[in-house]
Amino acid sequence: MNAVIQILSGLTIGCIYGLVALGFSMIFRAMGLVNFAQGDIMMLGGFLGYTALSIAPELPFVFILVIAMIATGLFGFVIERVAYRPALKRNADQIYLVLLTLGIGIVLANAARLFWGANPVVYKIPLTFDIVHVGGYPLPRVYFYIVGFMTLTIIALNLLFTKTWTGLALRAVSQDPTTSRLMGIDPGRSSSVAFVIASMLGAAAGVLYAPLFYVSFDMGAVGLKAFAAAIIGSLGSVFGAVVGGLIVGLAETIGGQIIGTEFQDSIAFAVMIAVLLLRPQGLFAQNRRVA
Amino acid sequence: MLRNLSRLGALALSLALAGQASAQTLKIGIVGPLSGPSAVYGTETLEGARFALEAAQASGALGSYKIELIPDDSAGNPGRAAQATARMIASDDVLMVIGGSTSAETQAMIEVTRPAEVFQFSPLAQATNLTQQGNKWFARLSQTADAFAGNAAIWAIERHKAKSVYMLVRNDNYGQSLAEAFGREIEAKGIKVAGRVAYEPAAKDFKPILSTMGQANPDFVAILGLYTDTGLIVKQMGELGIKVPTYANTSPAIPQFIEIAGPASDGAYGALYYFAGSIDTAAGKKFVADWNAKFKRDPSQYEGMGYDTMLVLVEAVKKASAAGKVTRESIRDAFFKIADLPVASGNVSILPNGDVKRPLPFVQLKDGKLKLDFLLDK
Amino acid sequence: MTSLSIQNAAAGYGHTLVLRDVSLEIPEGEVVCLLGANGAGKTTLIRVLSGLLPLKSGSIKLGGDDISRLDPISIVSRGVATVPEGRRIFPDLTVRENLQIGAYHRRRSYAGTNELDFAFEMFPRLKERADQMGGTLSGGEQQMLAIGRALMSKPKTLLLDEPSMGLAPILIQTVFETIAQLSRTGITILLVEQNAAAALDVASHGYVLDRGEISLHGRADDLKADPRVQESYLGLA
Repeated sequence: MNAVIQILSGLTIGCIYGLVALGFSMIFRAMGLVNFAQGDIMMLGGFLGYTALSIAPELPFVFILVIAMIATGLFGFVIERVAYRPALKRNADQIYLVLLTLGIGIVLANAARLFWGANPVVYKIPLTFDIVHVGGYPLPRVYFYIVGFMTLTIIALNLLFTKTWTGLALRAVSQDPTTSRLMGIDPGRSSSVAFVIASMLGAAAGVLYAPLFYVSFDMGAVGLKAFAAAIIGSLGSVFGAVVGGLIVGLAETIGGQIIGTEFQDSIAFAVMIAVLLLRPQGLFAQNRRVA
Repeated sequence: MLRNLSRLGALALSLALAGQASAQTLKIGIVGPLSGPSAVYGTETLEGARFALEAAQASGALGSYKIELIPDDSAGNPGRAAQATARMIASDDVLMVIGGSTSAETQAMIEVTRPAEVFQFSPLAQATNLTQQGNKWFARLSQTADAFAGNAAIWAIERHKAKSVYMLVRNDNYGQSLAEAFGREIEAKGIKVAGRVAYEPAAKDFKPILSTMGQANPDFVAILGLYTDTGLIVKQMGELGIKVPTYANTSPAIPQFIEIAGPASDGAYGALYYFAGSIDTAAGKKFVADWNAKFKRDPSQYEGMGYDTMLVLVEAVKKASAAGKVTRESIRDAFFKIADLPVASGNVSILPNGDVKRPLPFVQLKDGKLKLDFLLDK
Repeated sequence: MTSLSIQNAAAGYGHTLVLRDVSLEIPEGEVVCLLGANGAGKTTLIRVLSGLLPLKSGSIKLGGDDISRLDPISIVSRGVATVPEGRRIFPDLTVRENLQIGAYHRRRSYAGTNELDFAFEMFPRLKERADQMGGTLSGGEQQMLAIGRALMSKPKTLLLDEPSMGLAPILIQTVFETIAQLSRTGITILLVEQNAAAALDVASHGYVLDRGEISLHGRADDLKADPRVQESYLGLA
């Protein structure tokens, strides 16, 4: 009985990591940039959802989710245009870019603390405390939203990448930005699209995370575990990000119980190191990026 | 010559007047967070102190003296608290300083008051080590965190007949020091510790811990942490259907705890500084009645602590003036002579190391409201 | 008029000039080949023409319009497609997707997968491998794919950078046959090649680039007969 609940809760948390990890991978594919602000984008989404709820408390959760995604997506669009793309255009050093993304994350966290306060906020909706019993197991209802959203995301991304010009262009740019330009593709537009999608997925992770726990200005720390998940699944691989997220989620809940919960936070990184020792390119390496 | 004499006379007169004024008015600094996320501690403490001061001035309890409160905002920032304290001592020439609210700002203020030899009295600071520095210029009205935890263990055993206790401990200084005090009392009474788990301060998913705990089948759970973690633990205990009497440290009195834990918070136990209606003495009843007459509601725990801080101060002024002049030194000595003083939160004694002896209320959350469970007075 | 005309072009990287003073005429519908040793600046010229590298001075005119300052997107939209050096197939796109992406700039008028049929007719091997990843193809197949991809943009002008490089002789022949065939459909072609003999066979005119400058140019037949060309590029003494 316990094991089933553990596995389900691990998979659910894993989906949250996976959504943020997808953001890491999308942006890395499009721009060759590791956006360490991704966890703070998730935090922003969680807070924007909270604000939407405070303005319209009667709105169904799905609408809150969509509103937060759109608002955060717009925000991601602006960040990419204002902060990241100019730096990449100048051919800024990699270390500078890493510092830039970290800096933007810190600015976001501090701005959130000023705007929403240092205390955590809770979504005051029934979903936050709603338990359903499935086969005798008590499960928070939001688990089903999370797993459902993850499934839809995978389907939607798959359609995007294989059935649309935008998706085809995203893939082409991730493999060879220069030749993509010869095809008439604007890599800048691709990075905008990737950033908007990554921000929307991050926002969704934040809003879906909120009913399980709460939203606080410092929750961007989740981003580091999601980064480990993205690395495990090979940074840049969409499928790998999802699998990496699930691996981290499961390893944390199950591993936490076996080797002691004091180590729960380190498990994501232990798994990452183990995977990198065995397969330095990650589990799903396929990214043959050409300069 | 005559002109010079009259000038001298005027000077002497103004000096005499100034001297008389300073003998009458006692300037007391009060530092705490009046803005920012922890503003509730500072503003409510100040409000309670002002309320008590008004009554004291009106009743003539201060005799020929008059107390002037000089508040300053720390915003919960230790640096700002220390700055405000230094300014009060240097420019306002305060008699003593009340504050701070959080332990960190209180420690920062001690760094200023101790070398300046100005007495500091904290209404709320809990960190145990504040009174373990051999500092003769500091005392407090609040019990230490260790006292909270130790008393909680006694309460769990005496009031709830706990036989097998499971401890969930925030893995930082605060949580570990609570756990040490709690565990010490539990073991001293020969009660079984069914399990003791340290969790990371950043932990959010406690289900692995809680299912292990469920298997140990304890009859009492003590969560020694902050409301951000106690709230999630109680929530997830509810999700897993674990129903065991639970002591959630000081969290049940914090509104965000109820928000985070949701319906599962119902029935959770906790301790707090002061709980209106828990004190059956004349002083205890008078405070709640007076406060209700003015504000049409019960006082909060911080308002109660602010109120009692002022009552203790008034008593100290009386003692000091009875013994001679009220000076920075004599007011300090008077504080340390406070014994069994009946105030709103029960009878208070200041101990030689600056700690306090007073009753500690334990409460239970019922339908979103706190109810007195037990007043531990020993 | 879609003739391509380059006047006094200079370009390079940083402060180094790779092209010093290059003038070139590619009349509409004809094949012009550009010969030259390694490092002579041939690929740099292709990068300039396709918009990847800005011109430092001089001008490029396409059918009378100045395209010197245009970016690659505008240039491909004006019907100039590039088969880059080293083929630059997208390794993790399927053959079908590699072809489709060639039509990206005209995606609004793209009529669906049957548009790929002409490429499959031209290169039946690609049809067999339609669902394979581009990176798994052999060199010759990749070259066909690169040409097919460029043709998907429905170009009026085609820039080919070393299409025979690294291929087996039998495949080289196929490539040049393909170029001749394309030329008959009226496409204007600039062919950059090391294989001078084969290039001069399909071209009507030729240019020789030497250290960033045109050292020689003329009708293909005349160049073939020129002793300097014979010595340096045709391996005849």
